[in-house]
Order: sequence, then structure tokens, then C-alpha cells
Amino acid sequence: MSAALLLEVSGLSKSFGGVEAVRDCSFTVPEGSITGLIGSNGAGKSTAVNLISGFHRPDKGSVRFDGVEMVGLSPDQIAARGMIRTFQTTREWGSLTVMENMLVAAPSRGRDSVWRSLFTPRAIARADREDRQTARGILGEIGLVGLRDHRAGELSGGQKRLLEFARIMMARPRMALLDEPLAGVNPVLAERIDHAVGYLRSSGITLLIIEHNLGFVEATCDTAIVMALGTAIATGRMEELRTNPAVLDAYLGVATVA
Amino acid sequence: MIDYIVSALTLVSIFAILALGLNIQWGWSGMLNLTFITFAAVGAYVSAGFDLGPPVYAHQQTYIIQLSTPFPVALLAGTLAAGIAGGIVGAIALRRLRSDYFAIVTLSIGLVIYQVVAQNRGIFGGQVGLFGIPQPFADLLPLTPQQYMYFYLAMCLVALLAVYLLVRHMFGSPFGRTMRAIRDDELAAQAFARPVFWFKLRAFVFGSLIAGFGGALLSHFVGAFNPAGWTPGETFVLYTAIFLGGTGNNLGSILGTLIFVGIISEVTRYIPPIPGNPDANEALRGVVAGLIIILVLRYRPQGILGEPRDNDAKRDSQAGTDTYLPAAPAVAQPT
Repeated sequence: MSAALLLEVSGLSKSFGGVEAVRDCSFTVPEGSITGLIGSNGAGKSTAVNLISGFHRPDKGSVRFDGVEMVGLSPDQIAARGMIRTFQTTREWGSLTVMENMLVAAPSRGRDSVWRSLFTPRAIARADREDRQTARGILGEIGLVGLRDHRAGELSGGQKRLLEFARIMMARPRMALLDEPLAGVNPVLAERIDHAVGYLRSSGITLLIIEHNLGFVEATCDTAIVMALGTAIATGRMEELRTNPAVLDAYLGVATVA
Repeated sequence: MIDYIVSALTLVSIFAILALGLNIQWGWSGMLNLTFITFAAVGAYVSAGFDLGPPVYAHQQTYIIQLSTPFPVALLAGTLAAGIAGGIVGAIALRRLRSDYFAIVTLSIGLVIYQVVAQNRGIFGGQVGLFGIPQPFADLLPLTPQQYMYFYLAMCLVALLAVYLLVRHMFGSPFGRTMRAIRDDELAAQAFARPVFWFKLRAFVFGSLIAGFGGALLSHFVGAFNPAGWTPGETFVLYTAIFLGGTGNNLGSILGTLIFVGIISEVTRYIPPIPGNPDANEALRGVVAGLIIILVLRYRPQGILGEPRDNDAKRDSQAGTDTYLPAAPAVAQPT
């Protein structure tokens, strides 16, 4: 693989009580790629995402993002460096409108400072207008612009997922960690999610996608990382992984190959 | 009668200022500050200390500061003191991000401060409190006492308007939007690069500054201030006004105060006293406040006005077409 490595996880470990959720886990994600992170329930995928994004602090190990160590930084500091994550359940700001969700997701660049709102209101208002224009474009592409004045809490589950993609697009991170983007989405909307993923990729955002739907992973991701018992046991293209004995043993062998 | 209405309206406008401050903390930011009135008391006491001068009868009254600055300086001092107190309390109470922890810490800190100030005569006169607080600008204006009441009401209304315009501006600003996002979902706000603790601390200090400002107007209106004026129950009066008017709605905070403090509480004064129970009317106000909170939360949780909603279509009605799947049904089924 010739592309530079954007994310390098090495020796990551985390225990809760006596349970080792993640154990000496190492993998890399090349810049510009779409990488799947698969594994059976309890394999440690979500914990790994929490450790990478700073929501949990690892007991051991290192997370390097664009060559810089992320362990020890808070979630907002990591996000500010260009790595945005989603959660298994959608976490929209429910009483804000869809448009306001987009505006909060935009990089702040200090615009939500109290002082600037008080003393440079014109500059703030101009930036706000530009952000609204950008947001309308993104919402149009995702298919939510007609709902932009609805409170996000009133959207359907699938629309909330789409809003999540739109917010990431608005934030323009270098990398996004998507935790089960298809969870709770009905098959009709899956096509729109596919479209949204393609939209993120086409804008150059590197994606790490945790997903149970192996068909989706095969169709969408360049490579996949397989986790079992808290550690990454294999990396490769889906068709290679299907024949990898360790993977078959740990995960795919359970006869769920799509 | 007219004097009474003027006096009641002055009180309403001061409480409306306080309600606007609490609405920043609770309505926009979801911080359940159970001791908001303490910050108003800081403003009330400190501002009085700045223009009360040394006590006339030192054996009757003891207190700190004892300056004789003009009222605007005292008002500023009271406001800033409450903001500093808010910064200290906020830094302690907001460290842990859990909101129930925050509420309990504010309540505990408030009770401690209340007892210390009420029992220690050396700080602000203990139970006796401060009295003889000078009337702002009275020495500059040749007004009769009745004219002065009108003047003070006008001053409070101007102050209320100024605070309202400030708060409304901040509500619609990116800062206000971020605060409302943090209220709705803190983890998502962190995931989108917002340092939640610092934002909450700013909103807490912002609300505390307004509390101190309103408190200074209150002590100078009454001319005296003591622990009976800032019992923990006063905070719930403000919550009642906010819930009633519409949590998160700034105009609602003013409306709720007008209805609850200006009308409902005043009316309870005219219910004939129950013989042998001189405190019954005061207690009734607490009962009514509790009932209003319960009924509003049960039947109309958004209050009378509800939180205002951004209207982007009004800004650009042309931007209304989705390029992807324009024929798709507008509302997809939730799974």
C-alpha cells in the first residue's frame, strides 16, 4: 500500500473491571481509504473507537493520527485535529433544527466565542451566512434540505443517520469513524446511506466504518480489519478474509457469509 | 393603588432580569443551578457594600467593604462579584460532566454560603443584613418620593430591555447555538470538537453576571437586604417563571415572571389571612409555584411560548430542492 498511513493504532489495551475489552490491538488506516472494522459482538470494536476518539483512555498503547500521538487528548481536542466520530445510536441535537445541527457541526474557528459575538457581530453574521450556504448545498446532496427547518428530534431514524453524514461533511474532518452507520436503517434508506458514504469519500475524507453488514463492507470498503477477543487478527480485502482460516475460525466461520 | 402597581412592576422587571440569567444556565445550557439566587445575593450585598459607606451605628451593623462609590460603580462591582463567584462555583461544580452531580453541588454550595452569611454578622450583617442602602441617583435628581418610584421603575425597565437585547443576541449567536447543542447532547458536542466544560463555565458565568446585576438593582430598590430576601425558595420562583413562560425562550422568561411574580404571587397577598397562621399566604405562594411547575411539566412542557426555532427558509427560500432522489418520499419510515 503506497498511501501514507493516517491512523496508526499500536498495542492498544483497555480493561473494564477484570474484563479485557481491547487487548494489544494494532492496525493502520491509509489516508484516503475506506476501511471496514468487523468482528462479532463483544470483539472490542466499539471500545477501540472510544479509545481512538478519546472518549475512553487506554491502559496501554498508542494512537497516532497523522503522526501525532492522540492518547491523553480529550475528545474535543482529537476532533479539533480532524478526526470526527459517530455513535451507534444517532446523537443529533434534538431541539435544534437540521440547519442548526449543521451550523454547530461546522468547524468553530473561534466563532462561538462570547467576545466575538459581542464585539464583531458583523463578521460572525457573515461567517454564519457562508456556513448556511455550504450547509444547504450539503443537505441538498444528502437529501435533507427540505427538512432543514425541522427540529432534528422530529426526524425518522433513517433521516437522523443521513443528518449524521451531513454533519460530518459540514465538519470537513480528515477522517471519520462511523460506528455502525446502518444500525436501525431500513433497506429503503440503505441506498441513500451508500450515496452518502460515496459523497464523503469523494470529498477526500478517510473513513473507518464499524459495520455488521458484511455485504455493505464488501461493497463499500477497500479493506477490512477483523477483530476478535479485543485484538485485530487480520487485515485485507473481504474476498481474502473469507478464506483466511483465523478469520473463519473467529468470525466468518459461523456461516453468516453474505 | 398606582404606587403599589409601580412598586410591583419594578419588582417584576428585576425578577425578569434574574429569570433571563437563569434561563441562560438552565434553558439554553441545561445546567440545573439550584442556588441561582445566591449569585443575585452576591450582587445585592457587594453593590450595597460599595455605596453604603461606613455604618452609622457601628454597634448595630457590621459589614465588609464600606465604600461610598457612585451607584454605577457599585452596580458594576456587584455584577462582577457575582460573575467571579459564578466562575469559582462553576469551576468546582462543572468539573464532572454529569448534570445530576452539578445540581447537587450547586445546592450544597448554596446552603453553605447561605448559612455562613446568615450566621456571621461580620460579613454582611448576618440576619440583620444591610439597611439604609442609598437610593441610586437620588441626590442628583430633585424628585419627590413618588416621582422617584417612577424613575426607579423606568431605570429597571431600561435595564431589563438592555439585558433582554443582549441575551437575545447571544441566544441566536454561534455561542448560544453551541450551548443549546451541549444541552441536547454533550457527547455529540464533544465529538464535534466543542470543549464542553469551558462552554458550560462561560454560560454559567454569563448567567451569574446577570444575577449579580439584577441583585444589585434589587437591594437598591428595597434599600435593605438580608437573608430573608434570598432564601432557597426564591430560586424556585425563578424556575416557575421560566417553566411557565417557556424554557429556553427569553421572552418567555419575562412573560413567566410577569404572570407568576406580577400577578399570581401578588394576588395571593389579598387572600384573607387565616387567623393564627400569619405565614399562610407566604406559604401559599410556594404551593402555587410547585403546582405550576408540576402542571406545566405534565401538560405543556415547552411552556407558554416554547423555544424559538431557526427559520432558514426565510433567509433563502430558493434553496429548497434536494438533488439526490428528489422523488423520494419526504418522510421515510423509522425502523
